[in-house]
Amino acid sequence: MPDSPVLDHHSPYETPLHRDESAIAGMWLFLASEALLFGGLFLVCLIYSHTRSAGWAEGVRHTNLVIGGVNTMILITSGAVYTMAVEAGKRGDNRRVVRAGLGAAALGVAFLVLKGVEWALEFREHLFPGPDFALHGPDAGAAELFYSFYFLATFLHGMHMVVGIGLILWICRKARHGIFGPAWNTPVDIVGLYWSFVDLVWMLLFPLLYLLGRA
Amino acid sequence: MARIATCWTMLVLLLAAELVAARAGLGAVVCVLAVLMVLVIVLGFMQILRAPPLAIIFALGGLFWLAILLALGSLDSFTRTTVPVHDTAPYAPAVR
Repeated sequence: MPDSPVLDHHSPYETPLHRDESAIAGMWLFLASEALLFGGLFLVCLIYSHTRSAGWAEGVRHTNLVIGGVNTMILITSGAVYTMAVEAGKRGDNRRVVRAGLGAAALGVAFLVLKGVEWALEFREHLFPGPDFALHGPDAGAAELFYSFYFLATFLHGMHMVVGIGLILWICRKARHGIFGPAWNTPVDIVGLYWSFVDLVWMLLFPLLYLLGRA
Repeated sequence: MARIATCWTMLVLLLAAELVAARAGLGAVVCVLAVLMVLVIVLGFMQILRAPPLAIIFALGGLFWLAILLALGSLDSFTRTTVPVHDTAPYAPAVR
């Protein structure tokens, strides 16, 4: 039996602060596991970009730097815009949460559309690994390996973007009903952590896929 | 708002610097700039320093295990010595 109604209301947490801090710590624990998921991909890149550097760089030179650069700008801006939603949530400004959230989600969709265009161009140029792979020569095997990494990494990151956009829209729906206030806005904060993490992963993928070995 | 604008500007400048460094073939500089961009996001957008202590422990733990994964996973590839084998006779059973 709980000792007081306050304890019962926040059960199993002692206070609202304990509840909110547990939620934030839980998100960081999830993000730590995500870092290890992407860490496996970075390990593949670390090894093969050194042991098969010529073919790996050949693959990097064939990626579309313009689309990659524009997409990086879009994600940087989207991350900043959603952080505005987090700040608005802390003030209890639900209308601004919706506006900033929709802006961040729209930029996320723009990223995915551009990535789709980039994939379509690469499929047309036969850069997808397989029997019709476009690059030939002694380093073609390593270039094919690079493109395996490229498609897997961008697909995995894209799936995280889809989940993030869904979470942001869920936040916007809740904010439209005016449920966030200075006393409780943890979901806005937690989705912000996830969205920033997706942003962060791209900041590491971008140089690996588009820059290192291009010169 | 000023914090967010500062972080956004820093990220854009770091991205521009990354592109210049990549064009100049400075791979190590590109890597350093990428790490700086990650730091700007973690400190500026995610505000790890204002997070509860348990969250900071989880973040550091994730970083620690990531370092273990990358270090142990790449150890063999970076330290293995390939010894060329010359003039090896094809295997043939000994004739008695």
